[in-house]
Amino acid sequence: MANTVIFQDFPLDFTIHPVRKDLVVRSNADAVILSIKNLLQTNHYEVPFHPEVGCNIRRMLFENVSEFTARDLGRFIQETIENFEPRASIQSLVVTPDEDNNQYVIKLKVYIQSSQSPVTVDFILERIR
Amino acid sequence: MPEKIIITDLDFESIKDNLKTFLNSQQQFLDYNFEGSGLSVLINLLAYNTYYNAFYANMMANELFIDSAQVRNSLLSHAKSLNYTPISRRAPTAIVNVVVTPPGGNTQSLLTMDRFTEFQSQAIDGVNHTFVAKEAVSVYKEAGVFTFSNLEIKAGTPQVATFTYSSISNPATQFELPNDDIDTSTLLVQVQASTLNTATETFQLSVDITEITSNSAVYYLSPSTDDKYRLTFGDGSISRALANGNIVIASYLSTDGADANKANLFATGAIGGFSNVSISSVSSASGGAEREGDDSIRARAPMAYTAQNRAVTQKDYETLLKQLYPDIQSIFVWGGEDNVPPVYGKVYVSISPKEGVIINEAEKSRIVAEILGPVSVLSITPVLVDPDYVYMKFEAQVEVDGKLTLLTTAQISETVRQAIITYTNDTFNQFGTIFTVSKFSRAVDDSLSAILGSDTIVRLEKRLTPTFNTSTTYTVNFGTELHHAPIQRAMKSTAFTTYDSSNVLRTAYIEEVYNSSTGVDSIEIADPGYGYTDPPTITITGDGSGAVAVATIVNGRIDTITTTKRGTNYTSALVTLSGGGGQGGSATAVVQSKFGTLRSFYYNSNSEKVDINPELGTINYFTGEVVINNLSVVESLTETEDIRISVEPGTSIIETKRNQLLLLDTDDPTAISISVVVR
Repeated sequence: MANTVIFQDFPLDFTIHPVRKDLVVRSNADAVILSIKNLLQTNHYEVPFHPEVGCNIRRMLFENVSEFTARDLGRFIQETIENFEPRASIQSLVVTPDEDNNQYVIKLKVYIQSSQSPVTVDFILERIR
Repeated sequence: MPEKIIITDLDFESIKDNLKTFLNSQQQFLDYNFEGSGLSVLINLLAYNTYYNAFYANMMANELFIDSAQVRNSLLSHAKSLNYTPISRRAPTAIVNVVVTPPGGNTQSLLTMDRFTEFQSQAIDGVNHTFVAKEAVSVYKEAGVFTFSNLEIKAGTPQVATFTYSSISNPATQFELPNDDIDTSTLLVQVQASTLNTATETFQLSVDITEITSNSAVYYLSPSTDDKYRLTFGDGSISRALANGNIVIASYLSTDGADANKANLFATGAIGGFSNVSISSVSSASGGAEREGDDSIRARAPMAYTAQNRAVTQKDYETLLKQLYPDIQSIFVWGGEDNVPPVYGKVYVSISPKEGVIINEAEKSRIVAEILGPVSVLSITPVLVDPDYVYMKFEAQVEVDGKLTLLTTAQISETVRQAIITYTNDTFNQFGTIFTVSKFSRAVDDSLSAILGSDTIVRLEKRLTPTFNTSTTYTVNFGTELHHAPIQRAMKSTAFTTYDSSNVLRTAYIEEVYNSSTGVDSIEIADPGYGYTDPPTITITGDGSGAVAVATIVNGRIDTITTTKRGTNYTSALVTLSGGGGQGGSATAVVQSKFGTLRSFYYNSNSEKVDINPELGTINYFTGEVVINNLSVVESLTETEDIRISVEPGTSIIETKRNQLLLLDTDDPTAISISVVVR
């Protein structure tokens, strides 16, 4: 059962498969992680007629790097996943401010419907301009 | 087999659902149902694009037709292709007499008031309006003063637009007037030969192309974009062409529309250097109107195309009047042949103006002479008559659940009052409306959620303007069935003064005599008999009393039987004929409560009613006709110097006929009375 494809999606950068020369396809946990990433990168009012979809973490751009901001950030991410990604249920979400590098380190552990063990995603939010 | 995509939906969600349904049937990508997926982003994009295109196509198709066009400029363009010029704003017009008194010893004999001489009106809603003389007027001195009688002044700001014509830069000879608040009826177009030769000629608006020659000095007016208007000149074949270097001078008023209506007090500075000027108003400012609305253009442009600028059918009159006289709330036109008795060769027009109740006599003559005259067919005389106003009065009793509202009795009463005014504003003021008590009651009940129910007594009121100190017969027609109301709610009138039989001046009222409708209405001859030498005696027996009738005979046969007294309390009656020398005659009494009797009375010092004339007239409950015979009114005791007769209708559905118009007079404190009962 482990290999059964339940979820299947493609990355929005439209990466081409080096051998097949076709669109790269992501399945199951990969597809869900991709979806979470998309959601976190979406601002409100970006989706036509659905202003509620998205995370709007960009609004934290000019906040001071602090524990409080980190907690807010965590709450936004948690709400977004709970509201718009029914396939993932959060087991733990840790946002750590990294003041020296002007970034947040986020450790997200989620259960995904298609797999039995939790999936851990680590990502870093950083100002790029 | 993949499902087909439904392509008829027009809203975003439906389009998106259709795309999802399609994706449901294929195996390549599965995550279409999740907002975050890459596929969802693509679906959104596709659905949005489809939606956008659908909207665009739909809107474009809408704009292609005058019936569905929403953008004002599209409507103007459609109107133009139907040769219809939408009505611009109209400046209110007042008529004044201006008397200029020159100082003693002045020998000037002729005084000219320039076009656009300014007058200031009193403040209306806090704003003073500038009025200007419509055209230049010259008068000779008479009895030491210059009198400008019946001078037309219009509210607005004078504007002048000049254009120099060049056949190279403007081969179509079109000039756009820069103001969108123009009153096109004030437009004066003059053409100056050149900058050096200042001789000018006035060009007229072309209204009938059949009367134009190659040398006619006319201009054409058509709608341009953004509510502006465009002047076009001829090409030398159809009306005169402009020459290079000609200067077109267009002068007109820009106006605020209806804002200055009702102004009747004016002041001005010196006229012709004389500062002793007195102004009296002949008729207050009226006729001001906003530019024609979208719905109106949509309705009238095709009608104007049908009417082709001549008034033959009833609809033509309505169309042309609405076009040429915009201050119309509602209009009704009927041919004289439909009158009772018929009047051939006349067409009757009834106009309910947007402001006020009736159009004044000066304005009526102007409409007939200037607007209807030129477009009417030769053998038809248009006649403007006032609408037949039926005022409505409401006595509402409202039951309120005190636990459901925090409002005071006065506030509840005011809420209901406003609901009544809103309801009547929506339903009245149009010819051919139907008033139903049930819908009215619903409006009252819905005005507040705490209202448990209501009971409304509706009364109709007619106002007649008496001819003072002259014995006159008045006929008032309510045009609907009337109610045999109990005495407390019977027909009654407002107070007036009249002399009684001993020549004492009394404050009098008119009312219907209680029970007077229970008499014998008429007697029908069943058999005229034969051999009568004298009219037979008529005896009426039945459960009532007091009915008296007389017969006349012609050639030995009974010709007519007239009831001189109808009596009271009859439910059935038997007619017996006796004497007169003949035989065989028989007649039957008609008891149907059709007529009631009116009386005039005054209150004596004990507040008892004393008859002045116990048989003043009749009331016909079936047709609503009230006849008051030989009443000589000395003075009316209402503010408006009229006598108001109010009565309950006999039906709860009141259908207005012909030029009848229902009206709620909010200035009349008795028009709406509300009693609130809190439970």
